[in-house]
Amino acid sequence: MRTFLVYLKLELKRALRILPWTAAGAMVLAGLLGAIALFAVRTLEGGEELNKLKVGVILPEEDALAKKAVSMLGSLESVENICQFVFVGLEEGQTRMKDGELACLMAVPDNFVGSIIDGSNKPVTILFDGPLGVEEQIFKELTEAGAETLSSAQAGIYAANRMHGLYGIPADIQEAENYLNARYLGYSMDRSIHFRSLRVLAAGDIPLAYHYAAAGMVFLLLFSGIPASRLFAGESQAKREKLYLLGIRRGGWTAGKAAAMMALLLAALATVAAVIAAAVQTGIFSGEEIIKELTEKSRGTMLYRTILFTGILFTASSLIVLCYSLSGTGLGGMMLLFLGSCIMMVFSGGVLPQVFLPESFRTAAACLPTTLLMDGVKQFFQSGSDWKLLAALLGTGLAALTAAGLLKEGRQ
Amino acid sequence: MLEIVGIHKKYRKNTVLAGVSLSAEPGQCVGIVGANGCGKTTLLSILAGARKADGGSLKVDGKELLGHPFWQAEKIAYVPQENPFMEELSAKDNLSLWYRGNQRAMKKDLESGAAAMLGIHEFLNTPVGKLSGGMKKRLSIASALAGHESILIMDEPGAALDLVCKEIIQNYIKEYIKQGGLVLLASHELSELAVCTRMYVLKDGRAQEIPCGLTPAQLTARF
Repeated sequence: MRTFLVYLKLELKRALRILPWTAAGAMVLAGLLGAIALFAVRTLEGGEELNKLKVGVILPEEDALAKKAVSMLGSLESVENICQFVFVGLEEGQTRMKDGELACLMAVPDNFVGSIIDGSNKPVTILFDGPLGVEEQIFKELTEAGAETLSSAQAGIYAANRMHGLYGIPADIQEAENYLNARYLGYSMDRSIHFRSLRVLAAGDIPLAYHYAAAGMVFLLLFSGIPASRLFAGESQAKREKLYLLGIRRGGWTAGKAAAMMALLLAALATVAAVIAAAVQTGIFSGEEIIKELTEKSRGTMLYRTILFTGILFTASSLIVLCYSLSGTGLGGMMLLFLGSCIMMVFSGGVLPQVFLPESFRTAAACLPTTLLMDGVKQFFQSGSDWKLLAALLGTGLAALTAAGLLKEGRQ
Repeated sequence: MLEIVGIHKKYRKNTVLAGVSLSAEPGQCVGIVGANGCGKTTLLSILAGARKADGGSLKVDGKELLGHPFWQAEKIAYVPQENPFMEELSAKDNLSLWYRGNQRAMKKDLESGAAAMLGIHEFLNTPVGKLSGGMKKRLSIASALAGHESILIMDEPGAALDLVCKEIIQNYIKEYIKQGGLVLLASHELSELAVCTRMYVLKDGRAQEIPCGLTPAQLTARF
């Protein structure tokens, strides 16, 4: 045991010696990953869901009333959300529609308002150019549905008005109109549900920025194993044999390497955290929202979070040790670690959120250690305690370390 | 007293050692020679406990050690051909591992023991990566002797070393033998083998004793 503790101390000392390289590598990686994450968040969250349809409105000449009515129609919330009315002449409208600037043309007939008042309901003509896109289809359907609902309502209301007139009870007309209005509007489509503000998160139950922060941290942890390759390189046969004679066998070797890696990963994270804190302090980086979110939200107990954090470091370290054990050389380990991490992180949604990935990817991701690591990092910043996740993390780390020990060349 | 009887070793179908037997007394230096790939390193690492033998016996003072690598490590100091160090750490750090953290024993050896005779104090705080080949070899011998073993096994100790380093190591071997130690030495260099009191040639997996002081031509004729 004493020999193992001396060995452990020396491995930690070695880790300390290569710390500047690891910390520098971590900083470069953090910068690179931050830029990629920022770009991804902006790309995924920055676009509008649907473009507004530009509808060209062709008014009859000198019909101010029709222009007023169409303007009023265009200002309705349900219409305004999907359409923008642009008043044009027929020729100009056709040209702009051909150029793709206008989605369609709406030709308003003569005496449009008058026909509504007298119940003759002259229809507007909608002109499209070529096959309809999704937005145009929606517009067409909504227009037709609206026109039919309006026609039915008008017919019903005018019939009731006439009936009240014939029976000599015109005083009841207003009441009947209100009643019928409410009835017909009840039958018509509830437009508001289509324009309700609904926030859909690509990363599930957390904002995309957090998702990428978690992915970035996992990338950082795993990639920090690359500049730490010196811990694994140069393991000569003589050194293995001599360590064996000292009693440092497979278990001791893997435990020593994992402990050294954990120390290095902790140092890498601390370096990045210190730089981010300094950037926030000096105003270079405005992370108020994230810091507020992180500090104000209630979280799991300190004990749970400490164990979870240790579990994350342990699992990441074990995976790094496994990569170097699998390859058997420093350079091979570096390549395996880089490629393995990249591939697993693609599956785990670390590059594109899983919602954008095929079902088969999502199924495979459930078994990957990177998915567990990402879930662990997310859990660290969320409320509550998921002991199952913690157990899975520790189990994965232990399995990776055991595999690393078994793969290590024993006494010949 | 070291008695080796019928040591066997196979790497898959390739028989490297086919019943090596030899013996040596304290105060002797036994040289082992042979062509490249004849099994010298394999034999020495089996005797040190670093590799498993397929069969045979290794007795030190009548006690069977084969199959008990930790007893072997206690009794036998092994200096492999390559250096077994953590290159980023100092000579002192590396020594502390082989002394199993026993600072007192290490200090004593650095003052008046094997480490002192090998001049380790000259580069004690220098990272091993910055040491010369000779310094590393001296450190390797000192670390192997950290447990005060009475048998020293050395695999080509002078390989790629300059004359000064070779002389330091040879002087140390002479002193070690003088103090009643037993040295087993594998080498290709006659100057190194000059210190040997007995010689064995390893051929076809067996060891055959030969007279000391043979010329190169006489020696290679027996390979």
